Amino acid sequence: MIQKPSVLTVTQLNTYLKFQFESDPNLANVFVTGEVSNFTDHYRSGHLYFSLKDERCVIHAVMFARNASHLHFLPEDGMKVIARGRVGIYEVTGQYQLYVEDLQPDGLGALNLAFEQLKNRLEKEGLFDAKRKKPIPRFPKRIGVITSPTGAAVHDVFTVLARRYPLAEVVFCPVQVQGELAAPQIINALKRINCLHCADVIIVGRGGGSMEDLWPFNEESVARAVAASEIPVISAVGHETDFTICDFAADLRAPTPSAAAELAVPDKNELSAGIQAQFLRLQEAMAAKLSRLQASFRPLAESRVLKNPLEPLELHRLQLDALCSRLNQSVCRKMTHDREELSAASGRLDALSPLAVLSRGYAAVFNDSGKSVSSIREVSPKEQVGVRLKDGSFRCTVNKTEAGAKYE
Amino acid sequence: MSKKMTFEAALSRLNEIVEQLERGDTPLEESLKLFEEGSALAASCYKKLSEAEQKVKTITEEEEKSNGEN
Repeated sequence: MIQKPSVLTVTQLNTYLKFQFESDPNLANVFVTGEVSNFTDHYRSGHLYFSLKDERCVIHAVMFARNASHLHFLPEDGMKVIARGRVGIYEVTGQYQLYVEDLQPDGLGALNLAFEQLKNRLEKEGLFDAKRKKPIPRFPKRIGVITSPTGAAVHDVFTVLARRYPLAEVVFCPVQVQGELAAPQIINALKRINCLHCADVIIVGRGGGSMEDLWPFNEESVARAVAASEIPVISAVGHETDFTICDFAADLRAPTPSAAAELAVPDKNELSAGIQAQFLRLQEAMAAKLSRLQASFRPLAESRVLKNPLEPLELHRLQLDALCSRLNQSVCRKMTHDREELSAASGRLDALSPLAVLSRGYAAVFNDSGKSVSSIREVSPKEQVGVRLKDGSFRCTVNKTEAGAKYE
Repeated sequence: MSKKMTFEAALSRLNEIVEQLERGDTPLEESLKLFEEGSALAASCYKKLSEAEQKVKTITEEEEKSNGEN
């Protein structure tokens, strides 16, 4: 390198060494595995400074912001990584170091790590707090659907919504659900639906896929947009076993897009059954009311006065009849009694009657004044007297009176 | 039932009526009116459910202003 002794400046030497490193193809693209230490994140510049070490040695490393921005995870001390980059010299310090272009966690996949890190960070921040979750309305009038217009998910969601609750209108925002454009489109759709106030609940999601496919739903920006939505969001990404950051940020996580549709709306048939049940309860309550009222006036309705209003009169008539017959009986008895008394009396009268004496052949004499003559001193000769026998009378003239024996 | 009444409002009114009638302390005349109202609400809710057809409106960035129907 040096033909004859000459004196170099430090700059010349460092520049020369830098050239030497950079012209070595073995150093232009190396993969190095090691443990991160002395990690420094220069937030202002976005450059990452750290060291990689193993049991014996250490090498300084730097990752510039333009490369670091593509990292899904943040390196930290003690983390095993595989770094890809070139080895160069920072001429100012003469420090040789690894210029890292890409970094992968060793062992655990980069995306998995990124997922865990973002999840932990947002969780600490409180973005997933239960108190942040908005309730899903029971009877949404409009349902926002943010997903791909071509996947199975959109078909599943529409089918379930139409079957369960056709009353609600579907507001569909077609977006890409994987690739670079997915996250900004999803965020934009969330903002638009919120701006237009055109939905009461939003379903955001996609069907199953690889972790890379689902990645937009693990983007911090998407998670923040979901959490920021004024309208409740149901997240439905991939299959039952797929969890995304978006799921945690959403107000409700559904295992699949179909399930999200089921969670978003009530079921028509259940509602119909419910209405029918309510109607039955209504009828029963009314019937109960009526029968209670009926029961309260039944004793009245069945009272004898209302049931047979003539009964008291009949009773009176019966009493009257009884009295009449008693009256009759007593009158009859009285008459019989009187009759008997009469015949007894008349018998006794017969016994005393002068006619009875006459019938035995005796005669009664009356003077002209009709007075009965019972002594000769009451008549004088030539006096006209009447003589009464049992079957009539005759007149005769007294010739003479003769005293005789008394018949007494 | 009012035409303007939402399904949700109709359903909640129906529940209210059922509960009121079930308490049984409403006078007969009012009970009959409530029963009539409740029956009408149930019929109308039922009808709404069975006759509804889902509408889908698609909003894309280009159509944002016009809100085109799908």
